Amino acid sequence: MSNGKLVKDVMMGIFEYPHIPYWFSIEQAIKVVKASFIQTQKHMDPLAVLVFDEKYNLLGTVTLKDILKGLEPSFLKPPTKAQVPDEEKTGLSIVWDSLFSQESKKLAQKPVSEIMVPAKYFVDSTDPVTKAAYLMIHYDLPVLPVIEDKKKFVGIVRMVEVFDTISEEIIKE
Amino acid sequence: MVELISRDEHEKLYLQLFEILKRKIENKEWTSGMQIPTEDQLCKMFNVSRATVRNAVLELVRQGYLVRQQGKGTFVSSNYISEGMIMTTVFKKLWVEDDTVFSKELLAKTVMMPVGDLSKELEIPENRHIIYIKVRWLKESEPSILQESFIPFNVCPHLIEEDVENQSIIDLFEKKYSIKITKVFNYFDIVTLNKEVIQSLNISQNAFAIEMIQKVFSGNTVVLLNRLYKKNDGNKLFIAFQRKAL
Repeated sequence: MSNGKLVKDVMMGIFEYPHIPYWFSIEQAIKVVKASFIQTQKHMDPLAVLVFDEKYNLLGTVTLKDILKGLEPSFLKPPTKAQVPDEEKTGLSIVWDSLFSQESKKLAQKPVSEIMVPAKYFVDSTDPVTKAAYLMIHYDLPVLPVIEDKKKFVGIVRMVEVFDTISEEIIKE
Repeated sequence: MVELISRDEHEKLYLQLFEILKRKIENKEWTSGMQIPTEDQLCKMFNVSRATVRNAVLELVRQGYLVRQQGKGTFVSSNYISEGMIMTTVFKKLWVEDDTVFSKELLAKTVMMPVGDLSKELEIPENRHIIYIKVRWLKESEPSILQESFIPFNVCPHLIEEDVENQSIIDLFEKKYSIKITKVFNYFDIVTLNKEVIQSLNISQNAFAIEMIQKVFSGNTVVLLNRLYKKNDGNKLFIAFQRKAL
């Protein structure tokens, strides 16, 4: 399947994505997103920022959703275990206007390490694309880091290239 | 306009000739890069001895107005500064007099985006990657200086793999990557420090420190921005200047 295409055939270079260290605040991450994607109108999919440690090891990724989630006031976070009837949620509509205003400014000072999705799953550049697809589907990953020689971070696999490679096979007559 | 040497004045002839030739350069009568007349020609032009011409030219060379090229002649320097002295300095010794008494400890070496005023300082767009290096200088295991360096990634991508603890970035630029440093600007200020620097330097909350910002150019490109914080201890920042050698 998929023509035996390998990860290295479809991956993107890491410098397509902005880099930040884990001690940056969410606010600084927002500025990076604006400067790298929004002001330059470079609409990559997904819009993600790569988070590194002080030795330039990849720690994780931060997407727009992670940033917004990090700015959401804590009282809005749904209780994780309790059963909440659907109709109760509508009561929140009165706070929409102030949702991301007061508390969020304070939350924006938190370091990105608190909101990033840690990089736990990797593919090697010589792995088949199908392996990348499997990991992305099952662990709900927006981007998947590619490594070489077990540790050197060399690229990023995105859903769009994975989709393209696999769908090509499916629709081929 | 031809200026002539006045023999009535008590001023030494070679100094008068020096002033006349200097004015020719400053008034752009002699433009930068231009070859000046030979000693013989100058002797005839001003009706003075060879020794007088030689002394005047030597003084202009010493002050950086002229450059001598072996076997070719003497030329108007392309980057002379009309005011002030022309000095040379040694890059290695820009910060401390003797850096062998310090041990260095690498706290960070990573890649990031230029936030805050960094993109302005480095003169690059905000979406360009930069290399960030943080080194702590210790003397007798007591922290003294915190050095933060920022390098536009495309200036030297391989710097990220280099050992910057035991080699200076400027040395690496010059010797290994053929990035010639042509200009360094230094800015000094007294600052109160943020929490992070306070911790790294092991000092009390409200202590002051010297901040030295150093902008390093290769041509018109900023290739390195250093921010140094030095706490109030027995060590001194040191910069040596020396009159350009003959």
